[in-house]
Amino acid sequence: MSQAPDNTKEKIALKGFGVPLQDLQTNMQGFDMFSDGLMNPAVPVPDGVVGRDGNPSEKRYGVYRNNVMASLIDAMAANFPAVHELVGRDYFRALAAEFIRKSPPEQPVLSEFGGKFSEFIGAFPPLADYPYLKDVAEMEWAWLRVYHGADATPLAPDALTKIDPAKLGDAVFTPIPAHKLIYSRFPLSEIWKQNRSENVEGVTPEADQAILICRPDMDVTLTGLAQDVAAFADLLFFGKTLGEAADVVSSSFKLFDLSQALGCLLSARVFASVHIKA
Amino acid sequence: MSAQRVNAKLPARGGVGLKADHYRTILNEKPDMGFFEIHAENYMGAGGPPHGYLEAIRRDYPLSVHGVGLSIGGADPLNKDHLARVKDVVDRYDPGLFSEHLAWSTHDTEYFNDLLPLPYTEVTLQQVVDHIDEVQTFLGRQMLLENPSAYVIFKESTYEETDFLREIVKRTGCGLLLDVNNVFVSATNSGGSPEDYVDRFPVEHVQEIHLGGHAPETDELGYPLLIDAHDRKVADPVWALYARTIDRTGPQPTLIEWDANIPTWEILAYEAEQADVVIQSHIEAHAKASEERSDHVSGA
Ligand SMILES: [Fe+2]
Repeated sequence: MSQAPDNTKEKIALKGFGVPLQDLQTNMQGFDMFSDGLMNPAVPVPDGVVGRDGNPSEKRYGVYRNNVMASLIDAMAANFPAVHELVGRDYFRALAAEFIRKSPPEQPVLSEFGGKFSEFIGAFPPLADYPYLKDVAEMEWAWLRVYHGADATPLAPDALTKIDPAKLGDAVFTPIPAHKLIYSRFPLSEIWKQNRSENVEGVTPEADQAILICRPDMDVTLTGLAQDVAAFADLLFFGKTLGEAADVVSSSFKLFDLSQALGCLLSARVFASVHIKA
Repeated sequence: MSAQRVNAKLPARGGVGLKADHYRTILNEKPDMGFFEIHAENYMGAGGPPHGYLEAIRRDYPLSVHGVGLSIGGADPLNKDHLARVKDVVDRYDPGLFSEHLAWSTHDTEYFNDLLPLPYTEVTLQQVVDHIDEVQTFLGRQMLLENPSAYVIFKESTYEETDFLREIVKRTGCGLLLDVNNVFVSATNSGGSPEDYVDRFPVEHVQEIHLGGHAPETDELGYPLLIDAHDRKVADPVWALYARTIDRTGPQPTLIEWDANIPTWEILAYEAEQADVVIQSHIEAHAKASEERSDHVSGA
């Protein structure tokens, strides 16, 4: 914008001298006290926060306590619908409340709240017998990041035909920003299908160790990858050339099929561009 | 891209909060609707479907951006990162209006996701004024400040809310968003008169009106305690208060806020039509009154 009017001096005067320091301190204490009880029902209603008879009102202050916790729990349920399905509504609400008290949001964008939930679940003793829940939460968080990730046009299907076959080994791929690769020892694709009614494509008994979550256009797609294809994808995402990545993967996976692996990633449309390393 | 968009200015008609549930209906059916309002915080991701749909909807409709996370009424400095993200949304969508609340939602490092009340004192007045100055300077545009709904009373308050708002406008040059449901909720909860509040409101600065549904409860003394739930239709007495408000402010862009238990598109659109009906009958009554006045003059 064009230059703002210069009222800096006036501001300093107001900030420094307009208000007695003691009033500023009392004011800050008021906000401290109002905040303290919002997530902790054991804290009494702050002094001076009253109802129509002039006395502190639990019911009225309680509206704020309830709004804060209920709305944050709702936000968690929206971000982690499969965890919600798996543990059930009541359990989820108690679990999320516990998490929120431990790690309250630190900024107002709630689609970005819950990044530590999977870690919290993994370390939550009552859920020790359900080790897959941690991975489900991690996958839901990855899905959310992909859903809100930056848009980019994926590589045209015929992009590789334009490259001199002799130079293909030096090809370096740049993935679209909206992608994540998730590894788990649990059948996440089945859990996902049952609890979020979304299919993971290309899942075979061999291809359920890793799931590629990406968003080449408006819809998030999920692709099951066999272990060797996932390792290959990881190396390409890391900036290795096609030749380097293929060599590394073939040395640990004797049955690695390069053209099949590349075809799988290209049809998932996870790459935005390709160039030949000079 | 912006060349393909309709003009940003909001018409003095009913509009509705934009909900993901209705994206497809709006794009497919292109319903006649005055404008849409979004919460800025729902469009702060880098990309994805929310932006895809909003870009498409913005081409056909004017938009109002309503922030819920700046914590303008708070005692802490504004969150600069968040303010920058608000600016990104505003710059991207060129809304007709940008508004925020006379409330706070962040303290220390915690974000509470609720519009929390503040006492009205000299100290909080200066706090709010400083924050609004900062927002308006940073965004490079005027903002509207919305009157809150309140469930509690602060003993230490020394200002009436209407005087507090009038003073803020005087010192910052911001405009006002008058939420008529909030007036009804707060006045009822504190034992005051909603009509008096509207009559005392600095209406010359109003540029938008909000309407929404509330849930009736009672406090431990048996007094009514209305909750600003935005989960149902606008109550009849709030419609009556709206008609009284429009008579003072003149026709204004009027938003139906319905944020929980989201209804079908038809039910939501019907609420906005009711606002159009009130505005239309105000315009007709006004025209009739001035016609009668001129008849009187010519007959004299
Ligand atoms: Fe409102």
